[in-house]
Amino acid sequence: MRAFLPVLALIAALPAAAQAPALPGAPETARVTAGTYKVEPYHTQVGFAVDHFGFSIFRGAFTGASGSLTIDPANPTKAQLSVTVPIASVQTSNPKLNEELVSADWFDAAKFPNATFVSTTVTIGPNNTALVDGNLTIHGITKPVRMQVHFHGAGINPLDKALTAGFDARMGFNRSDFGVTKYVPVVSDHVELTIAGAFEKQ
Amino acid sequence: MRRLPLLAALLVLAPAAAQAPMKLPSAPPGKPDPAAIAAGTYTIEPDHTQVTFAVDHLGFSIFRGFLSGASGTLKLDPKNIGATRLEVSIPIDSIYTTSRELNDELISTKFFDVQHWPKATFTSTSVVLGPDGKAMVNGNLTLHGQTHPAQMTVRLHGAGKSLMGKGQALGFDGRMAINRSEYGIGGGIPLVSDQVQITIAAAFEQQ
Repeated sequence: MRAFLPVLALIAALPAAAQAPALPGAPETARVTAGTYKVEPYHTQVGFAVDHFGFSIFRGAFTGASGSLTIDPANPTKAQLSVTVPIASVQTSNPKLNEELVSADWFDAAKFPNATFVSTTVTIGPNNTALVDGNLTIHGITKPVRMQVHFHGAGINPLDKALTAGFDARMGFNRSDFGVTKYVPVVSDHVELTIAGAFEKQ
Repeated sequence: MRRLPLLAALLVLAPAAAQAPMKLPSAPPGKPDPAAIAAGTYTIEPDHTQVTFAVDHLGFSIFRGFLSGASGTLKLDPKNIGATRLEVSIPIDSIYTTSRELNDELISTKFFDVQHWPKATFTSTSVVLGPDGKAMVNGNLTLHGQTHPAQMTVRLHGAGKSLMGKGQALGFDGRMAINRSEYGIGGGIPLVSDQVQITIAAAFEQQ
C-alpha cells in the first residue's frame, strides 16, 4: 500500500501547494534520462477487452508486472523492454470467471504462470509515440506482436524521489494464436489490451 | 444412510446435465445494427455491465478501476429515440482496482463514503441521436450524495436475440467525463486527477 496512502499524506502535508500545484510528471521526453528503469508494479496495469456475444465489451485486468526498460533518449530506437505479468493476477467483475480464466480451459496458469513481452524493434513516431514490436508469450506460445505506445509523462516522484516515467500502450491480437480458444467466436477471438506502464529509474 | 441411493441416483443423472449447458451459437448473435433493436423495456444484465474509471496518477500514468453489479431499466423505441428513458444504479462497494488496499480506501470517507452513500445513480433527462449513430444521453448523475447534470456519449454495440432471456438483448458502449471534486470526492487532488474518464459497457435484456 506504500503506493497510495503516502499520496494522501503528502497532500495533507502540503496544503499551500493546492493553490497552483505542479504535477510531478509532465509529458516532456527530455525528462527521461538514459539508463535502466524497473516496472513500478503498483501503477502498472494490463487491461483487456473482448467482445461478448456481439452485445457488449467485457473488460478485465492483470497486475503485478515486473520487468525493465533500458532507454537512451539520444538513441530511442535502441530501447529494450522486457515485462512479465503473472496470469493469476487476472481479475474481472466476476470472481467465478476469475477462477475459470486461470484454469486449463483458458490460460492454464498452473502450467503457464506468466505472460511475457520482450521487445525486438522500436520505431519512433510523432507526438511522443512509438511502435514497439516484440515477442508476446501467453499460454506457452510465442508470437510477434506490435504495441502502440504513447509517452504519458515523467518526473521525480515526490514520495520516493525516483525518476518515474509512464506510458499508455495498446495492443491487439487473436487469442487463438496463443491456443486460448474457449468460447471463440461468441466471445471474440480478438483481444484489445490497454496498458498503463509505470517505470522507476534504477 | 437412506440419502445415499438418492445421491447415487443424482450422480448417475448429473453427467447428462453437465454435458448439456447453454447451447452456444456458431456466431455472435449481436449485430451493431440499429434495425436489430426491438422497442420495449429492458433491464440491465449485471454480469456483463461494467463501469471503468480512469484517473491520472501524478502525471506519470493512467490508473484504472471498475464498478459492477449495476441494476436499472431502459425504455427504448428506436423510432422515437427522444423518448428513451434510462435509470441505472450502481453499488459503490463493488469497486475494485488492482490494489485491494486501495479498494478499501476508496469506499472509506476519504473518497466515496459508502456507508453514507452506498450507490451511484444516473437518470436520463433527454436523449439526442447524433449524425454518426452516437447518442448524447443527458441526465443527472448522483455520486457521494450529490447530484449534477452529466452527459454520456453512447454507441450501440450490438443487438439481437438473447441467449439468456426470451426476448432481445442489446448492449452499448458509453463514455462520460466528470470532475470528482464537484461531487465532493476530493481525495488526492491534484496529484490524482480531478477529472475522471468513465468507460461504460452496458448490457440489457428485454423484459
